[in-house]
This record gives sequence, C-alpha cells and structure tokens, in this order.
Amino acid sequence: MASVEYRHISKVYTDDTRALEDLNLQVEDGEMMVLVGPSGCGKSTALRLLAGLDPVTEGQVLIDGKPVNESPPQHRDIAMVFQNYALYPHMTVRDNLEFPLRMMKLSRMERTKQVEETAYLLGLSELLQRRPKELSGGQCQRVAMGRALVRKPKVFLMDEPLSNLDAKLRIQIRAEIAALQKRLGVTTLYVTHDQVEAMTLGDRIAVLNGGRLQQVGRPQELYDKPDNTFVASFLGNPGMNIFSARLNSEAAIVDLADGGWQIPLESLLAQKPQMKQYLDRPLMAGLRPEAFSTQITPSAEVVVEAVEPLGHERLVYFTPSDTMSGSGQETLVARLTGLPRERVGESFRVGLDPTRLCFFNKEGEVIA
Amino acid sequence: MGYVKAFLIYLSLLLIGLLFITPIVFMISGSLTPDAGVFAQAGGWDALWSAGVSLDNYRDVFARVDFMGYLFNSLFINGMIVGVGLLVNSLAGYAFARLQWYGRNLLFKLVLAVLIIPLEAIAVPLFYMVSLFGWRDTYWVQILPFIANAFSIYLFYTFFIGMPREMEEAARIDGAGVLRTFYCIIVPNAKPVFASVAVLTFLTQWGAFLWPLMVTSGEDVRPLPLAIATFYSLPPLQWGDIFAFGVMMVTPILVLFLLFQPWFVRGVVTSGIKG
Ligand SMILES: Nc1ncnc2c1ncn2[C@@H]1O[C@H](COP(=O)(O)OP(=O)(O)OP(=O)(O)O)[C@@H](O)[C@H]1O
Ligand SMILES: [Mg+2]
Repeated sequence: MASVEYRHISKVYTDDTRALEDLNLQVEDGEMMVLVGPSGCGKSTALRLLAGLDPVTEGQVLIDGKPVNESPPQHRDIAMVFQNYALYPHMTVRDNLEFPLRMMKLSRMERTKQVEETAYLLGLSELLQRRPKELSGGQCQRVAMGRALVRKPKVFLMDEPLSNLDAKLRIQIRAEIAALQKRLGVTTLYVTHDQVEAMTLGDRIAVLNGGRLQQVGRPQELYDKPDNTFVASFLGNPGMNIFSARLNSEAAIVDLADGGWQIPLESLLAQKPQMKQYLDRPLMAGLRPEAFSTQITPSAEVVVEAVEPLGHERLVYFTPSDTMSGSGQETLVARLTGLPRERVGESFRVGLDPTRLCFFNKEGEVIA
Repeated sequence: MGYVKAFLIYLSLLLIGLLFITPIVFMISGSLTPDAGVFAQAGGWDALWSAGVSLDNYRDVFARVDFMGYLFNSLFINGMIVGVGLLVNSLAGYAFARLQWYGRNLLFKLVLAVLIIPLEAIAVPLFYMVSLFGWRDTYWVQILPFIANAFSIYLFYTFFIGMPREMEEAARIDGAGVLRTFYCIIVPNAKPVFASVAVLTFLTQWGAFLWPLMVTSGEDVRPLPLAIATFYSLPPLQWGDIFAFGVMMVTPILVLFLLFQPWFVRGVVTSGIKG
C-alpha cells in the first residue's frame, strides 16, 4: 500500500510535444483516483511517468514520499493493466499470472498458491491452461488484471482497461473492478476518457485537458461545482449547458440566455453575495440538463429542435425562442421525465431551477 | 473462366519449378552415373536420367579427399557463425530498436552503410589485418569476421520495431530487467525472424570460397567449397565425382531448410494483443 504524488511534473516528448504541464496531484493510500479527459490530454503519459516507462522532463514523482524518478520500472513495485492487455502470447494463462512472481524469485509452492488464489478471485481457474489467443476479450481483460494483482503491488495502474469490451461487459467488469479495489485496498490510478466510468469508479477524479490539470475532487463535487466550463461540459452525458448571463442592475433581474429566463437579482445575490462585483458584465451560466423541468418557474417559451427518447426519460434539444437573432446562442438540452408532449419545430414552456445555476467569468472560470 | 485462369497459373508455376529443378536433377543423376557415362551424356537431355546406377563416384570422393574432415570444418564454422551471430545480431537489433542510448542513431546509420560494402571490397585489407594478428590457418579467422552482420542486424531491427511495445513494457513493470525481457518475452515471440536469419546466414556462408582460400593453406581447417576445387585442379577431371561432391554439399542445406520451414514460412508473430 502506498501514496503517490506528482510534484510539478512536466513532460516534453523528444519531438517537442508538451504532454503534461506542471501537474500536481496527490493520491492517498488505498484511494481510487480516476484520470479523465479527452483524447491526447496526457492521461497515459501521466501513468507512464509513474510506471517509469518514460523519463520525466521536470518535477518529481513520489511513491510513499520517496522520489522514484531514477528507478527503473522493475524496482517501483507497481503493476499496470494495458488497454490492449499486452498478455504474453507464448505463455498459458497460468504462466502469464506466474511471470511477476517468478521475477520476485518466490518458491514454486508460494507461486502456485498465489496464482491459484488470484485465478479463483477473478474466475479464471478453468482457463489456466489456455493461451491468450484462445480467450475472449473479457477473459483476456481478467487475465491482465490478474497478472497485475497477483503480486500485490504498491500501486495499481490501469489505462483504459475496458475500452475494448462491449457495452454490457464493460458495465459488469466496471462493477467488479470497483468491488475488487475496495476489497484489496490497493492505491489505484485509473485512466479513462469515459466520464461515466470516471463518475462511477473514482473516489476522486482528476480532469485533464491539454496536459493541464483542470480540477480534482470527489465525483459529485466535480459534477455540482465545476471549477471551469471545460469540466462543466466534460462531465455528465450530455454535459452542462453553458449559456450567456447578465446581472441587470437597472431592472434588478438576472437575464439568462439573452432574454430566455429571468430571475430576480435580489434572490441571487442573497444566495451568492460574491456575484455583486459582476453586475452588468457579460458572464456565462451553466445548468445541468436535469435542472430543467416543465413543472417549475421561472419558465420560458422555447423551440424544440430534437427529441431523443431514452425510455425512462428523454433528452430535449431546444433554443430559447426569445433569443436575439444572431446572438450565437447554442442549442440547450433538457433531461425530462413524464409524458412527452414536445414536438420538433413547435414551442413549449420549460422552467429551470435557479438554485442549481453555476456562473463563470469570460475566461470560463467559476465565480459561484 | 476461373478454372482456366487457375490452370494457367499452375502451369506457369510448374514450368518455372521445372526450370529451377533441372540442374539439380542433372547433378543427382550425374552423381550416380559411372564417369564414362557422364561424359558421353554431357550436354544432352538424356543426362536427366542416369545411364546406370552406381555409387562409384561417392566412393571416389571419399577416397580422394577427407570429405568428413571438410564437412566437419564447414559445419563447425557455419554453426559458430550462425549460432553466435544470432545472439550478437539479435541483441544489437534489439538495442537499436528499443533502447535509448547516446549515439544510437549515428551508429545505426553506419550499420546501414556497411550493408552495401561487399566482402570482396575489404577482403585484402582484412587479410592484412588478420595476418598481422597471426590468425591465419585457424577456424577463428573464418568465423569472427562474419559474426556481426549488418543485414542480420537490420532484419532483427525491423522485426523488433514492429512488435507491440506494451508486451515488453508489461514485462518491465512485472519486474524483469532488459535482458530478461529480451529472452523471456521477445525471443519466444520472434522465432520466425530467428529462423529466417539463421537460414539466410547459413546459405550465404555455406558456399564461402574467397575468404577461406585467402586465409587458409592447410587442409585441417578448410571448408567444403575449397575441397571441391581439388577436383577441378587435379587431373583427371571427373565430372561424376564433382556431381557426387555437389550432392553431398547441398544436402545439409536442404535438411536445414526443411527443419526450419514451418517457422520460416509462417513469418508472422501470433500476438496476444486483441481488438
Ligand atoms: N512517444 C511519444 N512521442 C511523442 N509524442 C507523444 C508520445 N506519446 C504521446 N505523445 C503525445 O503526447 C500527448 C499526450 O498523449 P497521451 O498518450 O498521454 O494522451 P491520452 O490522454 O492517453 O490520450 P488517449 O485518450 O487518446 O489515450 C499527445 O499529444 C500525444 O500525441
Ligand atoms: Mg492513452
């Protein structure tokens, strides 16, 4: 068991690609930290630096408080599951699981015992004699996990371990991983670009974009109080709606989406006093799709662009009909339940929950 | 239509195959024909089948030269070149393909440059050098210059570059050092390239003539190709003996090729990477 720390880590590849910029991140002992972000944001790079597969350009990587920049992968006592599993094709499942133990120079009895325990834990006992090419994708995935777990490493790294599986298996194994991690209490760094996976698995989530850390926190925290518009729109499916907002001091109202919704300024300032300094300045507001409802006020007339039924709920895409033409207001989306009455091209009234509004400045950083 | 096309393809393949096999049939049939017969048939198609089967020629070969001695020399020299060469060149190819070290790219360019220098071009200076070292008339001098081989390094390099990197990275993380990763993970998945390099090296070195001729004078360490020269230079010129010698010299190559064929042909790694 161990803690992990990235201290002012930058990584520049030999072709001058800046993959990470001044990353500072601490992972507690036994914690499941999920790194999430769009493709190419440096997630894999962060794992590879911790594993020692690539050298650090600047800064320090620490495991259990000790700098490990100089130690080769085999001395760091970490394990990793690769996206394509990287099983050893010439070895049986048993030999694959046994390989890390052989490297530790354990006795044959000890090795057999641990291999069999791990195989049992992951439901691989029947498959020990097979070779990787005789396994299904899900089975390969389990073997890869087993090979990583078998020697009880200090830190467990997973780089998009589920991305080669079909949707159903992904959900099943996701739950298994979560349970296993809790049970074994191994410090884990889990990389994914799937925000649902991030939300369900992470004790905490670190959102990366363009090599920079955007925000770290518990999933619900990030979901409810994003630090910036990137995190707001990246998490959630669909992400947070971002639209214009203006605190109109003359009329004493907050004008949302260029004349779409209006709420009294008083009530907002009572709730978020720090907004005072943004009077009459252009701002952005964010609202989760589920904070819209047909039942509540303030409501506004909007025009339906598209409806996506999802069974138990539906996503309704719309534009505020009062929008000034040419203001560039984007399509918003609401997650609605109850009887569907909206028709594409027609208008309907939709209200929003003002207590769930987030506000961002021009740079996209959160105000309140 | 499909049948006609297939028929034509097979027919042309057959003809080409026959063309290649004809000299070998001449050789085998000639080796079994008594000397007088070989000469009488020479130049005619009827030489393709032997006039009368006799093993006289084979007996002559053994009587005139120490065939087993030469065979041992050839096998030993080539075995060392192939065996040690596989070890050295595969490690070099791996170092070029995967390890980061100072001067790697420059050195690799040099290796590629060496590819185009034929032995004939450096044979004489090389001869001076080994003479200075006093290495003439040894096995050593016939082995050492051919162990490090730019072409083999290049073949290994291209194969290793194409292997999935994650497998090695997994091994490193699982606790294996560079060398152990190499022989536990890389080598077992690189059998085809090892087989190809072994066969190619063996083929090119088995017929080596110029260099052994330059650096050896006694029979003790000379390989087979120099022995066959004895038959040309010592009258009477007996074609049957030469054919018999030829058959015996080619056989080890065929055996080797058949032995390695399963790997040689497959040529592709079956990798554990899915998806
Ligand atoms: N070996 C390398 N050499 C040069 N650039 C690299 C190398 N590996 C990654 N990069 C670059 O570094 C950046 C970050 O890559 P990284 O693989 O960490 O992204 P990622 O977040 O894992 O993306 P994905 O979700 O697609 O796997 C990318 O711009 C990528 O092109
Ligand atoms: Mg990646």
